[in-house]
Amino acid sequence: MPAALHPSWTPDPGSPERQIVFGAASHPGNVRTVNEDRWFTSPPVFLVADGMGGHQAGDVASSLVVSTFDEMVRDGVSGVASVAACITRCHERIAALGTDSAAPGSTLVGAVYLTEDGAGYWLVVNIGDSRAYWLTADGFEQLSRDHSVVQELIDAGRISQSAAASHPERHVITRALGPFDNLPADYSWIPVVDDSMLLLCSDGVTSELDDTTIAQLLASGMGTQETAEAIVTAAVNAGGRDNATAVVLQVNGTTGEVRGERRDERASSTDTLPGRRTQ
Amino acid sequence: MSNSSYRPGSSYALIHPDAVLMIALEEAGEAADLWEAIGQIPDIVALINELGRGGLSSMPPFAYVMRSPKHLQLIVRDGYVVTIRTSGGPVVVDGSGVSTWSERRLPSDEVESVQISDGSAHSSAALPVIAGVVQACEVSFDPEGRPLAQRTTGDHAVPTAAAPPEPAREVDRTAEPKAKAKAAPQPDLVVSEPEADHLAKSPSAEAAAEPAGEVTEDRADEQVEGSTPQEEPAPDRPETSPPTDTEDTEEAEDGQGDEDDEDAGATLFDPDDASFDAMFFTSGRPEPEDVPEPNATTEADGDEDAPEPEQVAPEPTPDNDSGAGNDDLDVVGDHDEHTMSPAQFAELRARMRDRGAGDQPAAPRPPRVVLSTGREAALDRSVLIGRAPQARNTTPTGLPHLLIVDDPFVSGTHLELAYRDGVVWATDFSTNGTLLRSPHGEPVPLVKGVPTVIADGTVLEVSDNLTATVAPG
Repeated sequence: MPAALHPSWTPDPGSPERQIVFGAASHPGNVRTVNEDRWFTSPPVFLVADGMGGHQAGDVASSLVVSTFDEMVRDGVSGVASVAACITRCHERIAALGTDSAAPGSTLVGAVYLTEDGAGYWLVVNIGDSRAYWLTADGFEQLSRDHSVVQELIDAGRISQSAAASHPERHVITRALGPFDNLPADYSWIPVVDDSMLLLCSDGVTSELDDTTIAQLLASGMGTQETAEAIVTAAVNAGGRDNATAVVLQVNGTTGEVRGERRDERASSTDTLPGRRTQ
Repeated sequence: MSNSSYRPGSSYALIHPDAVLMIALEEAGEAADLWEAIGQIPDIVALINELGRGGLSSMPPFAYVMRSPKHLQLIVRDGYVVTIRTSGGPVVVDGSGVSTWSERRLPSDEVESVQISDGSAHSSAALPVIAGVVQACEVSFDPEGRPLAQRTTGDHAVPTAAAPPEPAREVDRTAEPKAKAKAAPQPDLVVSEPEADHLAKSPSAEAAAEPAGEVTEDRADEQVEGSTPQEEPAPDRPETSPPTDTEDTEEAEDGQGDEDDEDAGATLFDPDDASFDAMFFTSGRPEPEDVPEPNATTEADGDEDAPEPEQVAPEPTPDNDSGAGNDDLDVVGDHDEHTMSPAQFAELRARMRDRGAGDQPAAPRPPRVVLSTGREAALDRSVLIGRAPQARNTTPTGLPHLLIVDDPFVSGTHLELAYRDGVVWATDFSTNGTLLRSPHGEPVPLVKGVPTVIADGTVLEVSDNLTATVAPG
């Protein structure tokens, strides 16, 4: 697909060389009849929400996340506080759907483009087991922290990462938006780096594809929309036991250069020049 | 409130003549700190600001009831139930399941008695209390019975003229003993008078003499040893004069009565986004893009009432007229003419802070990190210095301030500074290291990853071209 058809956004009209190109894809998978995942791309906000529970009202919960963030975008995003307030509203609105044991809830993984001390930053927020990943010249890494039983077991050293993939409780999450104790979302400052990619996805992707496969798809040099579709398709083909959703963001750069050779080291914001110290 | 009683339990009940706070705290020390704050009779917004310093999710369960000349106002969170007996029947405000809080505001002449409960079962007898901090599962009180003292924050009880107010004191107050206040020997924590600082500053001998807010030991002994928690006849009331008398004195000295006149009745608050941000994210330095500048907004001042010539009667006001029905306001968002705009609130807070150093329970302004480039950030949160510093998986208020520098010898995340317990700590995370240059002595490299105390006057050499220092707030 020609690059011109990819939605792109210029965060700072004063610096038009930085562009965010984005794409999204979602599929109910091979097992579920309803897709309770939702995605939302409305610069500066990008997110994936995975609804659950509540006698099929999971899609209502994840839709509420999208509509609440949409309101925030329309009202204007003025910083961390507006995002935090928006998340609180999501919590309240989903909780209003019901608070019994079968009440619906939703995960949220989002990236909001903000400016910190004059520099572009992703405010990455996460609650639940949807994930944010980052691909830069330095490699591929998971930015978010899963709020899941399995992650807690891993953190406690009780099980290994590889055992987690087949653990019977691998889909049980410990935090979500909705009728749970008001456990907070995680917030991260991630610098917006030229020639980097950000992936937001639901666990329908990460429960079917390992990190290596995901990284390869991201680095393959397709456009963001093709990449999102390829990731979702791969997850469905690998099993598709859950709804699968991916939002792919690319900062600057043309395809194929993301995991390229290092250019001048000083152009990479993640490398420090070794310095001599003068006493 | 007069005629207060409580049943022992595990919540902390901070009982003041004009306000009661029941709150779930971890330690008695926190109750001591809060007692000072309650002594100011914070309005709802100020209290939320105080308790919500760490963000909504770290705000403890609590219920707060405060008395203003015309209204009883209360705010309830999950874990507490407030039951109000009114002339129109009981009103129950149950915080269960409310993730933020519930508010009510009732005309005080309709309120007969109030009870706050934390829902735990109790079978013990009710014990009398006049003021202080006790551990309770239930507190009952009758808000009537004694006149409200004047306050400069929130409602005024100005007897006549609206001009720079003479502090109108109830007659019997002038005869109050000059003893320093100490709370009655309650079964639990008892805190000494926080307004001592106030008193010291006030040139008015009368104000200096007044033991604001608490009961002298002798009288309290009499009361506590009494068999019933009931009647506090008039002679007792002077002893429980609220701390705000001294504020009134200072206000009279200010000669700026006009600015306080604006606040008559301003209490409820509509948390639109800007004000929500102001409440929760302005501890210390507000994010410039989040908080409306106190003097820059165009919020109309037309919301306030003119100060009303309200008689402060020494007798309980009879329940004669309830005016225009029940002023019951269900949760913030439905406000009457007493709404304060975010700008006014910020200004009010600033005045409360300025009124007397130490009386405001808020922490002193934190120090600042200042770079040799001129950029600076307040240490109300951690500060990260680097070319592209990152912070991962923290809370919204734990997100650090970022000071971004364009120096290739500086690491992505190079140095972290934090202010804890009155001390500044620095932690180096860099490739090239950070040198610590104290005013006396050799420069010493920080040990990577180890938080190190930074003394006043220390210069941190982040690179050959960049230094950081800590300046007072």
